[in-house]
Amino acid sequence: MSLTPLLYGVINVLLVLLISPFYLTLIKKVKARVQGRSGPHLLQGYWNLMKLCQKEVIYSDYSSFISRITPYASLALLIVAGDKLII
Amino acid sequence: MSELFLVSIVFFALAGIVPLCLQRRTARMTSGLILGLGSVFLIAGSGMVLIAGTKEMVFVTELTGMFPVMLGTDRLTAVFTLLLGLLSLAAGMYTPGYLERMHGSGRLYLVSGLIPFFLLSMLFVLLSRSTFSFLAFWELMAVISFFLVLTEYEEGKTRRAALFYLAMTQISTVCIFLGIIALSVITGSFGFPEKLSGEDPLCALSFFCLFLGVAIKAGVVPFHKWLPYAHPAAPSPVSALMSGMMISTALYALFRIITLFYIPQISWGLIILAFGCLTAIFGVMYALKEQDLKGLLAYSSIDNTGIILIGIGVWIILGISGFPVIATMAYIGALFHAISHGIFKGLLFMTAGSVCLSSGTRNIDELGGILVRMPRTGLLFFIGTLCISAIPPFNGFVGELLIYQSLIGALSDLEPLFQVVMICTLSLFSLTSALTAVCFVKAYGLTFLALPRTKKAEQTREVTTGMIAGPAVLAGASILGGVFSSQVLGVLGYPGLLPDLFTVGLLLVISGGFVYAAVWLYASRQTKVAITWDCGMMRPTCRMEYTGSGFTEPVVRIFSSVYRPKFSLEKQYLDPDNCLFREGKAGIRLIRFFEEYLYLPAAGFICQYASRISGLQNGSVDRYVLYVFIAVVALVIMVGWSA
Repeated sequence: MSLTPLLYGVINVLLVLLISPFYLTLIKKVKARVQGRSGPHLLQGYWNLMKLCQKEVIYSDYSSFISRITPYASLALLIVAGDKLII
Repeated sequence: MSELFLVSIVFFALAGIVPLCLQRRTARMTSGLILGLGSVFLIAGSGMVLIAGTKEMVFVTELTGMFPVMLGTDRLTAVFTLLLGLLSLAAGMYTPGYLERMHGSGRLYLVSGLIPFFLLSMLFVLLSRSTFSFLAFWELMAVISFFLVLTEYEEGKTRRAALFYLAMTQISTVCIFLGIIALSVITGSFGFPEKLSGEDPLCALSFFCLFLGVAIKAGVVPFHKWLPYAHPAAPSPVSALMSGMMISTALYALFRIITLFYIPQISWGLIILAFGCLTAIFGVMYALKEQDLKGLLAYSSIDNTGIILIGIGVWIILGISGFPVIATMAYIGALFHAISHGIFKGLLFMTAGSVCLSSGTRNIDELGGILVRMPRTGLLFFIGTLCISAIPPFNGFVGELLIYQSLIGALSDLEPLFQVVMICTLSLFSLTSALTAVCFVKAYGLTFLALPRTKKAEQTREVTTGMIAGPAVLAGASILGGVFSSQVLGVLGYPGLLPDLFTVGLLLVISGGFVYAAVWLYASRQTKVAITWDCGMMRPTCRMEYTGSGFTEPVVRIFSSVYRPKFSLEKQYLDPDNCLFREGKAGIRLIRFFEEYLYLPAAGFICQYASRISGLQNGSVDRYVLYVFIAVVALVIMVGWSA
């Protein structure tokens, strides 16, 4: 197995991860323009993410391990799915 | 290698005899231990036969010259004995703990003794190498399982379920009996016939008799109705064995019949495929609306039987149409799914049994919040849920993937008729898979998550170590069987059918670690546990949770032509103009289609016929004298006529 496809896979995943907040903001921007507003700054998605990351995590006292692992698991699954498309 | 099988047979028999003879508490533990030891030998033996691929006889004897009892192994048998070994290992660990908490005294020894004999009878069915011994052990299996279903005989429901089961299983035996007699007429012996041509009408007749017998036992729609009654009524280790192993034994019989006995016809493939689609889709639909946790699992067994039948049907059609490689894929898929279904259904029934035992209810709407109270059982059930919903890299995914691939693989080169058939099958199969996922989101979410709905669920406590170790063995087997599936198939001589799920698993672990590390490095590490956000109104209670019927309501509405829900509304008013509402009743009733339109009319017909016949046999002596008189007169006339 050569390493090139693996490298492409890694690059692909990183690119997807880096670019997706930008797309979210872009959609908001377009929506706002259509409605005649000016809309958020194009980098607002990244700023939001940075701010949210600084907040503490609150779990409900009824919650189980499912709600703790689900965010990690869903992101990991998406990354593997993206990887599989390349390999 | 055959010695290993003999040793395990002896161990199984011993495990059955010990608790029946020595009625002491320790005898049940000893029985479990012996059963576990025997199953280790069985697993080792089947593994060796699987890898070596040899055919050999284990044991041969004869009752008389006509009725040979032959036991032997080959690869197909070894695949299923491996499953039997795994399930008996788990049952050996699980059963003593379960019986400890069950009420009743004498019957505990009976159950603990009958379970090994039940396993033994299924082992004999798998090992049989003559149709006579197959029939004998098949009947033994049916009778022992009938007594096991009847364990909690005080409840009227259980008695009814057991009688229903007995009637259906006897019909199954009658069908197989007829099939075997037809076979012995064709070949002149009770040995396994080989490669009979399906064009001979007697051969076709014998095939359909055998298929009907197997179909009843495997819970194929429309002969499935006994299964959701009988499987939940039995104690949980028995339900696990019935759903995990007895259905697989019936499917083994189908695999054996169709690969060895006959050269299958393409019409047989179509019939099996049609039954498969029907079974899969109805099984999952009924599972979806079931409120009884064990009943839901029983219906989902029916659905999986359907998936396996689809695989077999596709194998026959593609094999005859000239696509041997893709046909093999379907066959391996069906076989793999039969084994993995046995493993994860055993796991699900055992963990569900722990939940039902410690909460004292099987109704999903009375459970809830179990995961906090039984974390280990909950985790194991979660693994079972992932397997049955066909999530990669677990073993439920592998078989379904192979069947999907085979359905799509030959699509463009088939004849138009079969293209249509394949596409219809594919769409029904996809719907089945999707609904299975919904069904198990319901089973897991409503049972294990959120708040307990009743006092019973609140007082649930975690079960003993043995009752966790048993299902844990099966959970381990499901994970390993999925992750190393392509390696296992490679060793057995079928490489390249599957993508390497080990890589997928590895990638999942790596990227999971990567995500965790990224979050750990960059995000805040503070966590807090607080009450659920209540909008500033009141603390959330269990009355605000989803209920089972609420969860499945959209599906019931979409498929209302299948479920035929009947809504009833009764209102009473205080005044004559119907303005002031006093009280009322509302209800939703789902029609039990097969029971109301198929079983009851058939039963009614038989009753009518029987009552007509019984008019002739009314016990009065005068009437019998009249019969004798008429017979004598008729004889005299006949003899006189012929002279």
